Amino acid sequence: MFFRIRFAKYGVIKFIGHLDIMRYFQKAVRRSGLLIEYSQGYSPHQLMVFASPLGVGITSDGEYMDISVENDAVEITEAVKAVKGDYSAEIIKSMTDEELALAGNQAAQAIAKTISGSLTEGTEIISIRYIPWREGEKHPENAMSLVNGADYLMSVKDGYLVEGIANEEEAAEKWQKFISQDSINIVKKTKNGEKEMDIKPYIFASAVNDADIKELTDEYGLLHADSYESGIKIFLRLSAGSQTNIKPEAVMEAFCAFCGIEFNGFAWQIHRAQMYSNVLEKTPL
Amino acid sequence: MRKLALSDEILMSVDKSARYIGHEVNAVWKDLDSVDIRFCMCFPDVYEVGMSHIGIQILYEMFNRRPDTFCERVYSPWPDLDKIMREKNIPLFALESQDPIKNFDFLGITLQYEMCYTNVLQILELSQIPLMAKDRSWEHPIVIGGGPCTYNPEPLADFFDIIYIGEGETVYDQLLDLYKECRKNNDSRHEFLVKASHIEGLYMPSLYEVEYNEDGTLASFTPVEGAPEKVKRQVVADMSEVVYPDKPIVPYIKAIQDRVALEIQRGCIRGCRFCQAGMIYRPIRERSLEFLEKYAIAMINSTGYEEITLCSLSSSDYTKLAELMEFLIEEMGRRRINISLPSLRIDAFSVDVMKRVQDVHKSSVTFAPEAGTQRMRDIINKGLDEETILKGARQAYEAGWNKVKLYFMLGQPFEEDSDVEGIPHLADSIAMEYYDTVPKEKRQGRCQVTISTSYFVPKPFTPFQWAAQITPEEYTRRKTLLMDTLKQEHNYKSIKYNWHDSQTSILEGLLARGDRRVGRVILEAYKLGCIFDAWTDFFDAKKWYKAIENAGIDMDFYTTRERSTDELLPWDYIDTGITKKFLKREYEKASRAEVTKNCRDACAGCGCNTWNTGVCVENK
Repeated sequence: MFFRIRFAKYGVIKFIGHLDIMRYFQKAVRRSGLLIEYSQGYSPHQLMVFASPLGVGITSDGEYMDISVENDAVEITEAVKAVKGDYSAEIIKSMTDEELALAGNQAAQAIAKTISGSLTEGTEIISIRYIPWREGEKHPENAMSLVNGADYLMSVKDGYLVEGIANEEEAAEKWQKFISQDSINIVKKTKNGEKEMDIKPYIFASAVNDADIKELTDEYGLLHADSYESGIKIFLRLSAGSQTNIKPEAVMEAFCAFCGIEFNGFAWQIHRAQMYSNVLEKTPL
Repeated sequence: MRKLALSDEILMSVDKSARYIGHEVNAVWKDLDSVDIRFCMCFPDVYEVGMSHIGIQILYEMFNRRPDTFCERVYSPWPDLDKIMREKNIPLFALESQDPIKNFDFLGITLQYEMCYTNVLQILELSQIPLMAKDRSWEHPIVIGGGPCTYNPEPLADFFDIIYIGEGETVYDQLLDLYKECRKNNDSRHEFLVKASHIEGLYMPSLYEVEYNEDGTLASFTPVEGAPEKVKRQVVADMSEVVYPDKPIVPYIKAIQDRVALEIQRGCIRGCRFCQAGMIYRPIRERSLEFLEKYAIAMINSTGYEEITLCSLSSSDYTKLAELMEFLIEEMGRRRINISLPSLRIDAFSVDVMKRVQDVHKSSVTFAPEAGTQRMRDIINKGLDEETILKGARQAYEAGWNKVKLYFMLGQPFEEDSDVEGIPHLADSIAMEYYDTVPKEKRQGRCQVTISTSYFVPKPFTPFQWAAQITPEEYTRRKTLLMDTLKQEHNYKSIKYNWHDSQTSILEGLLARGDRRVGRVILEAYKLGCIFDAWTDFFDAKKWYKAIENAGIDMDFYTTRERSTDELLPWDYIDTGITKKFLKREYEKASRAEVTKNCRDACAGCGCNTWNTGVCVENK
């Protein structure tokens, strides 16, 4: 069965890079004893797909990974038993889509519990859901290929003064001017050199005050976002994924340039709040 | 959330910030108010190297089992962070609590190789602890050293308060108990060290006075204030009744040893005359099958690693290896855990086992003949003949391997040019064996035979401890001779030759057999900016030679000079259990190319049977 897990990454774990986080989860799953499926071939690896890499130093409440769990896993057999009274490979095949969803959702909760027991402080499962799929069908599209948008919260860290936007009011005013432009051109580095690009169409939403930000996030999105004294925040909803990936730093660079200052990456804490499979419809992964 | 010693900005500016944040899976955390003793364990090299060492994991487990002690870890900050810490005056901190080490009770430093000595000074200086032991007070931690380099700790004598000689599992409890008592009684730091010198195995460099003859050799080595004449090496009596980590720490970033390490036995029966480990870990002591099976499962379950490796000096000599492998193949196979098996002698059994656990197309088979001719292998007591090597290679080829690695040493005592030429000859025979064994249609291109040579460094407590190390020029000459001979071999296209840098090895020779005066060289080198000398990118031979000059030391006196067997050696006060008589006898036998049987075939009378354990009491 396929499941999609939403998880948080925060605290000191923000310094662990993407590849190491993948290895960390692989080990956590092995420690947990969960019967995850493995790929075929001489050196089989766990069937685990991460939606999108998160840069070092960035915290998140909106990370996603897909896992494929063996039907024989106790979390699934127990769920199937709860729905059908018994478990066997044949019983699973005979189940209707509704029954599978019922068992899958129940198994999902048990799987979250199993994995959570092996996680250390700084990683946390926020939610998990069953991805409908029947044996023999084409595999469901994975989180990595689905993602097309992401939310970010940019906050000025303690100990840093960003000139030109020294307080919340100033930041709000400048941001309003910046975002009201007809186009926002940046220079994007590509394999074939530099290319000018208008990123305005890829900024789907933004906000600078708490009420507006709250409006744009769900109850978990900012759970592990650190807050800082200055209160200066900028919330961004950007295009993400394989089509057009806009980094929040690129937007901030353009904003800072607009304000006549240089973007200092150390001054801003980036927090990813959510990822979407359909950002225009606001459908989370 | 726990605090971090370094700011986000620093952590974002340095390479691999995960080296400095601690917080790993299975790292221990204790309530600081509940402990009396803060111990920081250090491996003076970068995190990924230090985290791969099982010794520290064993001691970490042992210390943290004491409710009154919190043991934490520290590794050498990489040069990028080193620079920042100096600029901003940030004191070096322990990974767990992120607290400055200067406020700890103990700083324990493991000394695994000589080329980490300048990193010891880096650790002390960044910790803001005086480099010289004599300048320390109760304001500073007790700095204690351990590990294989302590079999001649003299070059480091000025920098350490205590040197622990032998295996760490035995007397630390006594030391910590004594420490608590002395602190309670308001004893001076010196009084504590004097009292601690009566604990077996602990050497206090400050309690020994050294005098030299005019020719530079040692005249006397005298204990003061009642310190013992001899310091006795510590040996674990029963390897199956001793602490071992069932929950080793799992780093977030990939360590060099990215797998569960299971130490199956300690010591070696072989008695190779160049090998220090083969001497100082005597007698061989096996862990019980039951112990190993229990810990293998526990460690895999607690870490989530996908590979387990067996650690020992010679895995093939573990008497229950077949049973252990059966168990592991069954249990680890079920869990999709890979098994790696280093230090195997290549024979029918090991080829069969390796075939079951490794991919023949990706891996290679390794032989360590150490010398190219039978005469030379007899001199070093390798106990391996050409027929066995060729047979092993044949079996490996038949099983599907076509890559062979061969390890040799150049510059061992009594080596002649014909022995050097024997190395490519042997490699050629091994390559030839492939073309004779594997029919043309089954070959996947040529076989690949790789020769590696290292530059022999004589080590204390080996039969070659008196021998002259060859000069770097001579090493280069022999290396060139080897290369020229190789070009004339029939199968030279199938043979590759790698060699080890000669500058590192000659300095290693200086540090390995140096006396207290050599400490000045280390200090000078450090002051000139040497750190991470074990890393080719950072090693700077010129600075070291400058340091030797500044310290007024005659390098040749320590490296290329053959010692008389009557000379008082800097490490003679250490009682390893191995008698000098045995070492002399072995040196003489080496000169006659005469072999000594391994411990299981016949006792060679090395003196270690006084421990009454391991192979010395097997079948008795």
